Amino acid sequence: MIKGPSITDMVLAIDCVTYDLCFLMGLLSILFKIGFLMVAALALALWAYVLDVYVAKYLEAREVGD
Amino acid sequence: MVFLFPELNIFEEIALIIGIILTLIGVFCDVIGSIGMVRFPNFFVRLHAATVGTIGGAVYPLFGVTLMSLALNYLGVIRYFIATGAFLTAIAIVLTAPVGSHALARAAHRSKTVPVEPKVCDFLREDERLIEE
Repeated sequence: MIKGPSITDMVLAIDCVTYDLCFLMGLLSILFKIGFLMVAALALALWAYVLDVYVAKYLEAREVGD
Repeated sequence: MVFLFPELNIFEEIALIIGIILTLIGVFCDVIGSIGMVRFPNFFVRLHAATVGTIGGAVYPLFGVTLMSLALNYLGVIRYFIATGAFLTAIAIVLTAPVGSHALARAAHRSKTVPVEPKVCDFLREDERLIEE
């Protein structure tokens, strides 16, 4: 995740770790009886999608706009 | 019928067993995806292993977490909260993860930052060359 061969490999590794962390948060919320961990998991999944789209747009157009 | 969990009724027991099976499928797909991420030689092949680890390793276990939290009745009212959150997270990952990986692959191929090195043929590059001529 730190030193991929290119920048897209790093983004891909961050995506995989984030989605698996969502699932781990679900199991921990069952184990510890804390309901609010699932809200954090939903925010984390959407954050990974935003990272994907922004990196793709920067690589293709060399600017980060709206 | 032998009851494995005697404090639950039959529907909760079926949901709990299906949730545990989905979680074990997720563990298997995660191991396969991580082996592929290390061993594959190319970015575009590595994307396939990452998608196996995403859909098989995060979406199926989140549906399993939904069924498990609906089945375990010692959680009280919190179990409806956990089930709704896990279901919404699974739907969000199903909708957004293929879009993100497709955008990443398209940007990496068009901006030429990743070499398509061990390849058989690259029809997209040949088509771009034909359009330029």
